[in-house]
Amino acid sequence: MLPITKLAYPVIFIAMGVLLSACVEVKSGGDLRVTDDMGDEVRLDGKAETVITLAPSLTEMVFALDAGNRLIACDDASNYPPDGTADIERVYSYTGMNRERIVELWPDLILMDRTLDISGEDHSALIEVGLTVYRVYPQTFEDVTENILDIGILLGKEEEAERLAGDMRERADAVRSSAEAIPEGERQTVLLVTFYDGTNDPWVGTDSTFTGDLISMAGGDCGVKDEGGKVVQITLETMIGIDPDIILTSQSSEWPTDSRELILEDERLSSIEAVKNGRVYDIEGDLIDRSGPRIVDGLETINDIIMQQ
Amino acid sequence: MGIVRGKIAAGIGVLSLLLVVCFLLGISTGTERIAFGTVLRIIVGEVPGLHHLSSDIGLGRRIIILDLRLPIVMMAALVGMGLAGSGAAMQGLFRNPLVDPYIIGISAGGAGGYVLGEVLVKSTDITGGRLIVPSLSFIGGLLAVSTAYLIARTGNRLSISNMLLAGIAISAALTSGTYLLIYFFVENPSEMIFSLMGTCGNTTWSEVYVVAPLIIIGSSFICFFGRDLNAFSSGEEGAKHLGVDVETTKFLILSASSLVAAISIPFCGVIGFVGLIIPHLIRRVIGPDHRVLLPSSILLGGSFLIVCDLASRSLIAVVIPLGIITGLVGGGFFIYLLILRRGYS
Repeated sequence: MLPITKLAYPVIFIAMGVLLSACVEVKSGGDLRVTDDMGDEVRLDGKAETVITLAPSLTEMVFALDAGNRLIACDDASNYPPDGTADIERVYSYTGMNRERIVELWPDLILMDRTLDISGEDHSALIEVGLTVYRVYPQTFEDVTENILDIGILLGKEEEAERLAGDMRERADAVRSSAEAIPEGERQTVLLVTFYDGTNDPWVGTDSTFTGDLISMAGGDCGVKDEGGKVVQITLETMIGIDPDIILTSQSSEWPTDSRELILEDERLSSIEAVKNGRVYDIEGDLIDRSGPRIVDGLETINDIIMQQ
Repeated sequence: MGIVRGKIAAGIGVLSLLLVVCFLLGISTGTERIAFGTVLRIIVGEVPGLHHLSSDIGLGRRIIILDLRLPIVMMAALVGMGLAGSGAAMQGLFRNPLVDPYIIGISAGGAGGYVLGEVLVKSTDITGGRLIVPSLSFIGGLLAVSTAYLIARTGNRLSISNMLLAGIAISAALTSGTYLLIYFFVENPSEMIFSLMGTCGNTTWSEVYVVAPLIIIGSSFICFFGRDLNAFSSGEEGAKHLGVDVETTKFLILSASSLVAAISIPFCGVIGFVGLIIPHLIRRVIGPDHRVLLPSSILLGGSFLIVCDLASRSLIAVVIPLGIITGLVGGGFFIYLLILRRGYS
């Protein structure tokens, strides 16, 4: 019996050593760290296998990175890709978050957009219980590609992320160079109307919003200057004063509006260049106000509209 | 007689001038800066034969003045005129300075009629909503005030305090009913509530065309009852002795007052207390003679609401609903009146 015991000790030690080193290796190799848009460090032990997204743009990113099958729940507004999102459980809407369900699902990673949680309340509620949350707060096109690269790391999809971000940047560069061909001072004024009902003052995008950045990248001059970074209501007077060359009316697939028709038919807006020349265009809202991978489609659409004289 | 005529002429003259000044102030203020001279040229250029004066001004600016600001200021003036005229007439009729279309239930009835009309038009696809909604608003206002009157009247006596209490109770009940309608049947409740808060913003000419004739005719009609209302100041019995057909007069004044006060609600919402403050101010300065009081109140009411509307558009970057401004001013004034009365008793 003794020899076996004598033999067993080194075996056990070696086995422990191997196990321990394996542990250390797993730890050092799988420790994923990125800093999110809010400056918080997000750590994961190994790539996220289960993910919950709390914004449609983030859902689109996860799918674009070929990780849609890891999505176990998402927000109410996520609708793209239609096939992929149709059957996913919903745990978040503009009226509130189903915190208990999220905790029950206990995902490896939650992706959220700070724009939808300005107060940060939802974020703290998730952090408090020990969940891992990565927050985006993109202000420009470039920020979106950065988000994609970060999320690629967290999902263990670095290659896909680099390919996707690279493709987006390439297409954006093409748009930029076509925009640069427009001589300074000849840029057209573009007004983005998010909602107009023919009676109340229109809601418009400003130069400090995400869409404002797209408009200037695409070679236009955003009609409304405001630092708040939010969609604002302007009076019809102001709209006439801005006298945009192009009006974009954003259309959502779920809430179609007839803003475009109402603007074209409104006698009071008849002095506006865009109305006179019939340059009022419906544009798919999801392409321009979702800071996801399809944003580059939105950018190209705006560029196409600006370029057709 | 000559003194009265002189007083009328002087008072009306000064107040008309004030109205013109407020009017010009109103149309030269907005989010776009347009020089006063340009504004004047645009207005004068509309006179046939003077088109050359404004022909060099861009279409955009002409639209801003003529199609955006002008209808808003016109609407504010008309609504103010209607409310003040209605208040002055009813204060005379009920011999009580605390009566006003807002307190006595006309506004609540009008608002109820308006919301009901909107719901009906939306849900049944009836054409002619433009006329149905204001008609229901008027009927609602008239019903509310008539009910208050019938409750307060016992035999031949009308208890003014009961009339006020009945008006307040009816207003409360009607307001709840209105909110219930909004809660269950209105697709976009916040928008409806906002429009009830009172605003002349984005008034269009087509709305002015509906409101203008009714308020102008209604207010002028009220002015004809100056002599009768003077007779009412010695009580209904006294008026009867002075040869006034009391019941007919009461009915006509009440209808006209409801019309001019309630008709504006579908277009600018509930604007309170104008009918209370304005006749009071006039009474202080010019005296209680309804022949002067009525037209003066109407003129000052127009000026007052133009200024309130200006304040609502330009005090801060966001538009504050007009009803909130007049409510603040009016509420304060009402408390002041109550304290003043306490001093007398």
